[in-house]
Amino acid sequence: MLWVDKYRPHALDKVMVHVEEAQQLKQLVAQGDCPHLLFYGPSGAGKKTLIIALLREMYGAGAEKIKVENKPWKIEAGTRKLEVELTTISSNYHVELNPSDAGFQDRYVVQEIIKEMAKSRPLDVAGNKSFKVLVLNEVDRLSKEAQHSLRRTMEKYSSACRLILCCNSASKVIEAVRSRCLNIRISAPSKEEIVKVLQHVAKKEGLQLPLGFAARIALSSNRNLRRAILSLEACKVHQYPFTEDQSVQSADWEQYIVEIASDIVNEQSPKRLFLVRGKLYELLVNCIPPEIVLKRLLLELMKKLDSELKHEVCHWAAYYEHRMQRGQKAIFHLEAFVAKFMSIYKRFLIATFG
Amino acid sequence: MDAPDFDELEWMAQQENPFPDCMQHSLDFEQEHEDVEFSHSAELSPELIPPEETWSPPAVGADRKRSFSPALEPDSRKRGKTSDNESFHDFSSQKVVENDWVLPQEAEWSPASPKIKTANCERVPNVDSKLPARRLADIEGNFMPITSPSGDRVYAEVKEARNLFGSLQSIHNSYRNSKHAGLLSESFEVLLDQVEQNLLKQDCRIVEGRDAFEDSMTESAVHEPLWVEKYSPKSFTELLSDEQTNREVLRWLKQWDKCVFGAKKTSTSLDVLAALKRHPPTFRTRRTADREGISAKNGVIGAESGSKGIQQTDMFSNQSINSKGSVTSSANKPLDDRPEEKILLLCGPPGLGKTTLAHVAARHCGYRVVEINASDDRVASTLQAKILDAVQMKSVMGDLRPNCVVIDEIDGALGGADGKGAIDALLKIAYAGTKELSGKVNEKDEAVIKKASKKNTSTTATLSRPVICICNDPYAPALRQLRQMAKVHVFTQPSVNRVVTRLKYICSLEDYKISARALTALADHTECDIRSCLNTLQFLRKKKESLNMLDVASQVVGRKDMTSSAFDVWGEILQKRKPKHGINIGSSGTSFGYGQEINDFLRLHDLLANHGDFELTNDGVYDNLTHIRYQDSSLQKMVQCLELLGDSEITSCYALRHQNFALTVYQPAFLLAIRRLVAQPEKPFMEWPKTFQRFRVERSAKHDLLRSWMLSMQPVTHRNFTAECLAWDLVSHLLCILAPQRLRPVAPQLLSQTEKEEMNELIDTMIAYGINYKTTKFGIDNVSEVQGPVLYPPIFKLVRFKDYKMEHPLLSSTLRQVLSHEVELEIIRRESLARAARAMSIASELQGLSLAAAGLQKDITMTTKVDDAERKPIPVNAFTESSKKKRTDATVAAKQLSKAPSKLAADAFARFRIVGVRNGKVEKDSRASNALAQRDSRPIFFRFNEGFTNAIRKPVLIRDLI
Repeated sequence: MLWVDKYRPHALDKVMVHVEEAQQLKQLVAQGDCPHLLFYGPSGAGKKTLIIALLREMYGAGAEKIKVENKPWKIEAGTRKLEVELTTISSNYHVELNPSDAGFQDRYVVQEIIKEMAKSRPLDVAGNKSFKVLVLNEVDRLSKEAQHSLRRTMEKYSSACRLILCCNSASKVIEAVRSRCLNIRISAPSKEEIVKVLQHVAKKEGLQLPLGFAARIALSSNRNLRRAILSLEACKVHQYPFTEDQSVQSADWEQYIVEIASDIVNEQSPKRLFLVRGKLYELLVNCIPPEIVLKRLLLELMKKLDSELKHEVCHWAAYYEHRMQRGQKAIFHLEAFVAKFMSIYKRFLIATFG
Repeated sequence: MDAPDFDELEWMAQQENPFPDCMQHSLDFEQEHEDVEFSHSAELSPELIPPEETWSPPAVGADRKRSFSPALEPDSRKRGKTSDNESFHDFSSQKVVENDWVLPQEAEWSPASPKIKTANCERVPNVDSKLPARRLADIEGNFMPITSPSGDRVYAEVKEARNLFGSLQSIHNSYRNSKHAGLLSESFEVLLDQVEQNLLKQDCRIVEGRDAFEDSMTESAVHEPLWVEKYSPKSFTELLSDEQTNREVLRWLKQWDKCVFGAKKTSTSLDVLAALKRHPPTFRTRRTADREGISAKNGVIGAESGSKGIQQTDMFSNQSINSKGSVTSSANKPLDDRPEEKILLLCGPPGLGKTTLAHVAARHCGYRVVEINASDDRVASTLQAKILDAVQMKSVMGDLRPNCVVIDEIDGALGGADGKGAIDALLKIAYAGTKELSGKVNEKDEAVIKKASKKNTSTTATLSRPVICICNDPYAPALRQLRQMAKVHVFTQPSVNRVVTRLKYICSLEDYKISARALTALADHTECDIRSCLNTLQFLRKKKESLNMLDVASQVVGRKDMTSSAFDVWGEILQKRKPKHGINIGSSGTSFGYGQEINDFLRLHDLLANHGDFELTNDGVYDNLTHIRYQDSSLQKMVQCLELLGDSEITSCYALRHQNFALTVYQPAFLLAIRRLVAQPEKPFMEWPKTFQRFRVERSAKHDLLRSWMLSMQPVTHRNFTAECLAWDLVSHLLCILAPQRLRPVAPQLLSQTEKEEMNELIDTMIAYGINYKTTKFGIDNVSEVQGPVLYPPIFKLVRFKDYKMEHPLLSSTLRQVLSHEVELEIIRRESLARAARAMSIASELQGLSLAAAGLQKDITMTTKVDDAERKPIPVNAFTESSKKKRTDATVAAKQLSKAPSKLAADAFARFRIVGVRNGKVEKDSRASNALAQRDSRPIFFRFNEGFTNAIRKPVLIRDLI
């Protein structure tokens, strides 16, 4: 097992970050019931961990006996017959699924499958809860129609079923859904928290972890706990007795973005832009989300930038990210940002150095 | 009445010069002979017979008719030759008699005169004596030799008919009817035009008693035929299309001659006609044979195969046997003479004369054209029936010429599955003969006969007549098959000059004054679509307007709905055109440059709006944008362009999301703005935008890889990740973790304690994430440098970027092999453990069992644990149930036992491997059941020769294994 999985806290009492939230959750379900929940926060903050721990809190160890199913669902939508393939993770008490996997047919998933699941009451096995839990991942990627169809389901079948929604950004979840849930924000852990967790893991593994190195890992992880633990393990594999100045393993795509950034800074021309376009395509092909690409690219560019320009470049990055969210072809907007940066940078160079 | 008409006088005045001697000799003669010609061709021919009967034996009529017709032909050409004229003058001195008056000469000779009087219009041989003279000497002056069927030769004196009233009118009339046959000389056209003008002016005056005249007049006044019809080429030489194509088509048609007309022909239409006359008998037999063939279901097949083998005949009815006899000789032979390509496919843009060419060429070669066009129902069955009718039947009415099928607009109406079916049917018919014949030769058994009889409903008929298909777009999907099989001719645009010349000619015929420049502009505008040109001209003519430059540019002249290719559109956007060659269309009033710009803008806007596919256009512009060289020092323009493209994309996205498609109207604006920024005069290098498409494909492939990987993970790890998380958080670290460099590439037995622990952890991780090393056949695409097993699922693909050097170290090949082995073992071990645990729990539940039975059952469960069939708990349950029931029955148990080794044999390896490995390996955990421990206490050693699988043939007793 990777350390990420191995040292994942299973109980709400054992969590090391978001202790407060965990305690609140514990109190919430102490009475044997809970409202619909919406967890939101950046990736690697611990949403899923909390959800799993919460389920365990509610149903006991039985909630951890899970099985994965991937099966096609047949849906009759009006006159059409659709077949949607969906992966579900289920225990006796809950079902986890990712409705946005169905793409543009997500509406039918919500209308038919989720409704079907929500309708049926669980068998009251050992005098446990009389409701089951549906965990929906990536709700922010659901289309508006799908989210709207979720509203009614949430109300109508609330006696038999609780929904736990999980997403990165609450702003993409419609208000109506948000207001039906208890919103729980899981913020990214701070660097100190990450260092604490890393130390904990190292102690459990019996490793000597220099504090400075831990801090650097925490820094390079961008407050992503999962990434931090993974890179700790990668570093350990790479070179064990840790030294203070050991290099931190970063992900390949990050290194690739570093390359792109230096490409951009070195030359500003249509030809170079074309080259950069090809590289951006490569990143997107490998399923790296465009928002993350843009963010990372901005961070890399910032490192090489005169402080005079930083504000302007940040502004444009935000501007193009917003456009990217509104459109569908991320590459257009990514490239527009790159071109904008090139333009600004070139103007700056000419103004400064003549 | 006797007074010559106005027209008549005029005509005579015109004719004065060409025929001086005629006039001198006899004015009347000239007129009269003209009269004969046309009254014969245009007017009441049945009434020819009665007068002839009266003065000579009935058969003479036929004779005369024959001698008469050849005389007419030279006549039309050499009107001036008096010597010719005189020879038939006597004979043809006949006249048209109008309703209300009688010839003075009639009384003189005719027994049939009363009849003539009543007749409306008759030909009366104006012969001097009542009987033709036997001797030439009896006749003074003009004479006419007549030969009777019995061979007697008589001479008839010919008297000049004096008075040929009204004949002039019919001359005009008939000339007008026949003028477009291309028979007339220049001077006549002028005359005709004048006549026509006159007629237009005074059409009410002409209504009098002259039927034929009246008919045609009203027609011309009310329904004037379309010029396109009126002036369509009637003969091969008049065709406007490319000479080369014309010849090719003709040659192809000629290749059919051998099949259709029997003998090899090299000829003109006269020869063809002659050939037709010569060959009717064969046609008749073919026809009857075909008819029989169709009525008896298996007719043609029977006929074709008849010559090959008798054994098939018993399947067919008597009738088909009869038909066989008659057909074999005629039907089989001509098919072999068909040209290589059975179908001719003419393609090209509309209005270039494809249909006309097909018709003219077919007629030229002596075929009767049967046209099947888009207005007909053309699903497979009807089309097939029609073609079969056309190629096998023959018209009953007079026309003896063979059919030639012209399938017009084959691409248009033939969309979708129906169209495909229709084309298939057509091809089947066309190529049935060859295939069937070749197929028949060597296949004789029953099955084939059955197949043939089954098939024959659709493929009986073979094509024995030419089929010409016409289409606009040869690359229509439905035509793919046809394109390969048929002879394809692509029409190119005729030169503007050629079109203009023809237009001018027609305009002059119609007396429509129009400048050559306007015509050129028109031809340009319509892209040499002569049909559209003519329709436009006729329309304007009707409105009594003249065409000028302004009209061509404005909406008066309809512009064709031209679909331009995507490349054209991109070209228009990225390339700045020079101001159009001088012709400043429609810039009325405004200054030159300004008007030009506006026009350009409007034109482009229309072009873009009509093209419609903005996404494609955007992609194309996006992909080709960086190739354009333009002045842009600080990339300002590039930024703007990309922003505009982004705007366009956001707009369309919004439109789609909210189904607000009215927003599409604004799409062209973005592109036009881009054009203003970047368009350059030189021709840009352009390529089809593939990148986005490729991106989508590759991305979905990667996504699928991620998903399948997730499914192969264990549930506990699966639930913690989403696909994207895997890609950007996990993969690269995981690759690092999976390749610990400290691990020595040695056999697991030789590892130290800590190393073993490390390795076990690694194996554990790999199993948790569903990863293993697998040997692939030819290395996964370009990982050729990697020998031995590679990761599966190939997650290393997820971190492969272009121009990026992957830094992930790889384990050595041996280590990878060891790992893959160990992982498999571990998986099996875990499964067996799980099963053992299950079995134990089941066993403990079975309370009342005797010790022996329980032991036996446990043993059996253990022995079969590696068996795939035993994976599921249910079988185990069932098994235990059954063993519980029959635990007293020792024989059954024994049988189960005896079965076990055979089951083992299939998977013997795995089992032995476990044992072997286990021996060298320190037990990692204490989870093993005591059954396993018990087994391990009695190990079996054996040597494993790699690459030799079924090597173990050692007899092993179950007892030993327990």
